[in-house]
Amino acid sequence: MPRFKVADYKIFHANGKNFVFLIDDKAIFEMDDQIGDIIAEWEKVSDFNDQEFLASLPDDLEDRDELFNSLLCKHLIVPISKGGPKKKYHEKGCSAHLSVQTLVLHLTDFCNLGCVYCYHDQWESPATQKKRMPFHVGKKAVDFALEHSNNYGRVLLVFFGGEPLLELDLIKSIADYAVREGERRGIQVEFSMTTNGTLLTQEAIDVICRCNMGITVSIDGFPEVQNRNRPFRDGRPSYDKVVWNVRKLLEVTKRPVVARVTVTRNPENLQRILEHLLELGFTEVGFSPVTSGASGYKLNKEEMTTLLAQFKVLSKRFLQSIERREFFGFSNIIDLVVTLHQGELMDYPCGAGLSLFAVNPEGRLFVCQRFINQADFCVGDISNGFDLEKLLEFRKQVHIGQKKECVDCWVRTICTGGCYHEACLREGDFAKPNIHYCEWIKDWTKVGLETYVRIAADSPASLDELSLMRGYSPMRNL
Amino acid sequence: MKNKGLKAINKAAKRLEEKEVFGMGDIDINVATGQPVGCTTIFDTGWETNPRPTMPMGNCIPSARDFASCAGPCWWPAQVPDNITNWPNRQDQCPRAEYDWRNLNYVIKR
Repeated sequence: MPRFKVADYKIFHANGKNFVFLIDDKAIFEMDDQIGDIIAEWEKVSDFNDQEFLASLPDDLEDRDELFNSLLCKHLIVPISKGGPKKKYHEKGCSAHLSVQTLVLHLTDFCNLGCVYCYHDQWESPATQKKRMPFHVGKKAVDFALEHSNNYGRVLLVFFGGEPLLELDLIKSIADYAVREGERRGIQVEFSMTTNGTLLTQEAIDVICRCNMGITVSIDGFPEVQNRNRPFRDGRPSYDKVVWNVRKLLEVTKRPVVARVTVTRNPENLQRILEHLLELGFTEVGFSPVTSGASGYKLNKEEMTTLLAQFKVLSKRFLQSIERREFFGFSNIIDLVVTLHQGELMDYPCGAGLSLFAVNPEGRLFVCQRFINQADFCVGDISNGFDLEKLLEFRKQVHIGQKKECVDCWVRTICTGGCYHEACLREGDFAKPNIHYCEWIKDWTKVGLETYVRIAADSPASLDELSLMRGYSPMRNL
Repeated sequence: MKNKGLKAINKAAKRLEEKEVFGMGDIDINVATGQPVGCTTIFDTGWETNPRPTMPMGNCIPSARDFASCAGPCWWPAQVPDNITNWPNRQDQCPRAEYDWRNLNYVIKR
């Protein structure tokens, strides 16, 4: 006779209602008290059969069989023999599938800013050893991406660096070639770029518009912060230049322009920073705590608590704006809400080494842009292709099934251990989960769940609109 | 079907609920989501008049333009190869319908 157990779950409350988040299915159900009582009671029994379960239900309850089947179908109760998704992770192993959907082109090691927290500094080489990508490498990288797009029909090329706009001519040449070559092969090529905004000349803006390039500007907010954290190499302030340039870009570009703020010490001003950047015309603003190895800028425990408090306030404002049918561009909550809405199961925290790769000026391939030029993370080159053995070993090492610390965590299917690069700096091993912010992620996910179910109740259509902004086709909605 | 005290909120929950409503049994959800669920991504013509997240219950789909559906809990108004049991790999040749629909051919039953 089959044996059953209650699936791993997390209960949360919002709007005076109870909800259950089924961890391994990433499914969210609203739940009445009776169901809540039943699963709380049977959770204590780790192993039961259907007869035992049915016998425990009140006699006056109609359709007891139907209730059991419903709980089984909705995966609140799972058969023990199957071992549940936890076991599945180990059995499934890692994918040997090879395709490139995003290729990050590391155009140059040079940058005209000297940001105090730059993660490139740790392996910064003398100027004589710094490299720029020659056009023949860029061209070959485009070919490589198109050849490995595996009928996906679409490839995203990301111009990155260093500061990519130091190589505007190269960007132009690569983009022109990629469009031409994409058309020839019937593959749609899309572009994006992350820039510090200091070199957005009229010529650069023309190229951006012509290529319909998605732009993210790294900017830290108010003049005093920006000028302190992100000065030019010679120490001159950069704020005025960036803002002047960005205004010009925002006047003409049709695509949303996103601001990315690196949060260092004193994160109490996020609300004001976000308002300031939205006023400048950015569509969205996202915040990332600094990941530099330089300890002087890392957020300590109290500052992370402040950061969460600020995120909570901003999430509340996001919710209020949704109720007013307005858009409030707080990227972090949008990302989380869309993740919860889609509920896709993932074995990895990101696409690094799966469908995203970065190529350096010499044409060597790395698992992502953060590991550029680090030999341990080189997984081939664009001339000879992937080093399959090394790539599969990487995938095996970072697979969620390998992260023992995550096995019993209730956010394991959302966080999946977090950024490998951050783990490298903070935990000393890229394959380890980011234990240092576990509690923070749990608290933040709880904010996300509560925000999500409130939007689902008040304005379900806006969830599909937000998903569309993140590249999910509404027609795939169920 | 009664909700039985549970109401699906996100898509992952709705996928489980649909499995139940359409009697799909305990199919591995990973397998079920690996296929196009509902109608095809591009030529799903019912969506304007019956916007998701509900199923396109009342709408007919022009079969001449839509070849990749009939997977999961979706009914189909015309004869297409069944991609659940007999031709499970049929749509591998058509990863993106708007580019690749020409690759989809008829199946000749011998």
